[in-house]
Amino acid sequence: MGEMELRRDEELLAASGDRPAHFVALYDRTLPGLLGYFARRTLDAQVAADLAAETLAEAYASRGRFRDRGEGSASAWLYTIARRQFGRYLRRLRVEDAARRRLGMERLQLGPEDIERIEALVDFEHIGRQVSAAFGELLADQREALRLRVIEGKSYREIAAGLGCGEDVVHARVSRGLKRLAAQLDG
Amino acid sequence: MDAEDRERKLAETRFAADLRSQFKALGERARQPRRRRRWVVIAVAAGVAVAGLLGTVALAGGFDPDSTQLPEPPLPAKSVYPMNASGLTYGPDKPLVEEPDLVAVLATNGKRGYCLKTDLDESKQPPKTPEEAVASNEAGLRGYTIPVYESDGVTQIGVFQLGGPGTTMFYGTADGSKVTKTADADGNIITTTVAPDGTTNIETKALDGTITTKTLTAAEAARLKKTPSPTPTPSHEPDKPSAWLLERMSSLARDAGDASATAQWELQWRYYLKRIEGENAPESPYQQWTTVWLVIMHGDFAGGVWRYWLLDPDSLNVISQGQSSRPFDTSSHNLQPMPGPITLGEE
Repeated sequence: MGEMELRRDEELLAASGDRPAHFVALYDRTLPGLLGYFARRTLDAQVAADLAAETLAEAYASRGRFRDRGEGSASAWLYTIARRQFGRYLRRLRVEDAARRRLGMERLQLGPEDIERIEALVDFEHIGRQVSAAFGELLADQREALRLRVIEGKSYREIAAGLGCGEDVVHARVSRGLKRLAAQLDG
Repeated sequence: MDAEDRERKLAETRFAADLRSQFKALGERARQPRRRRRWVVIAVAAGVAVAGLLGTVALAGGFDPDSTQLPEPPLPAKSVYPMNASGLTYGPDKPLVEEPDLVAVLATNGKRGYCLKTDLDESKQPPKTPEEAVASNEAGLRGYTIPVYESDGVTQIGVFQLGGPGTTMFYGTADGSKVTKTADADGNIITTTVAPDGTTNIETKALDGTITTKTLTAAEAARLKKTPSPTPTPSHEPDKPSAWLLERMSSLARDAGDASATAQWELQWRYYLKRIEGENAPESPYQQWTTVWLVIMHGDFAGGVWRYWLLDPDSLNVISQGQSSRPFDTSSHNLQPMPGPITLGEE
């Protein structure tokens, strides 16, 4: 067991400010958890991989701001960034790449084997049942707004015109629908 | 296959290996961290009407007091923003990117436009003398305006308010005292100095330069802190919120089929922390303009009572929350429905 493996996550992260090589050790520990976190929420291996990479890139870029506040603080810090990334993804339905671009990192395209292994982190059958049940419990207008926005990918303006209501109304329906679905998936 | 097996197999994927190589390469070419410097922090707020209502709690809660490292070099503005006929970049300030020459703002008259970065930067320049520092601080605390233009950077369409009541400045002194400066609605600068032994000095500087001071012992200050503030008696009937806002809220509630439906609105409210070097300045954060979301739940809004949550727009963490019976002048703010799912913290 090497020296780095003996270190706590907090120590690795704090030390990576001066010695960036320590970040790689932290990366090894945290990538699977992050991929699982995103895969279970997005149900899309490529999106999960992009979100995990962007989260780690943002963590790397701002690692100098981390302060060790005791056991668990590194994980809390990292998952705060992860939640923020996921929130952005939900709002914009695309994964940010600002941190990776800034660091000069490439976006990685998954191969079939990568996809299979990331998807193995997700119990799709169970989640599929959950989503289906949660979707069925939405109010009819929320369900329709979500279907048009998320599944068909229409703009808010198009949906508003089609439904004969204002864009802010569509925003509200999609927002409430997603919130309810997210709450179901978070269990 | 158990979770441990799945994670091990994940670490063996090409994706994991390639991403690992990228981080490893970053580490190998990373520069040494920059020398830490010591700053005095001045918080200069925009969105004065809101700042006045939310006060120091929102400002104090919005930054990490342990953050001392300067950010990495951002992307060039020209690679991200559109350019006008004069070659000036323009658009909303974005994280990880240099500020454009013309920064998108909301003017006090409600119009969307752009401030010259140089106008905004003027307030970010470190003063050269102690007198300049005092004058700059007081100007920021009392508030001032800069022009807002069309994207051409020439046609003025309004003004942007910087600072003003509710803006707060924090710093420490060589003897360990903690100092808070703020301005009230009348333009008085109120400086509260808490010494290490708890003795508290409150200085009030009026617009005409008149200074009054009051000193409290540690015990008196503690008593004052424990005594709840009396509920303010409004000197006038609370103003009704803007008709259009009530109409939109009612419409939203009706559409949801629930008369008690909650309406969520966001207001982009920005402030930044200005840095000044000082020998005895405490370690404090440097932060670029920061956007926060103000979420207003209408509740008994029509009766003049409303509640707010101030959120970090990225993490959606609640920075501050509270309620007020003071009228909220929405006329100069562009309130929009929240675009995404928001989970507010427990009260």
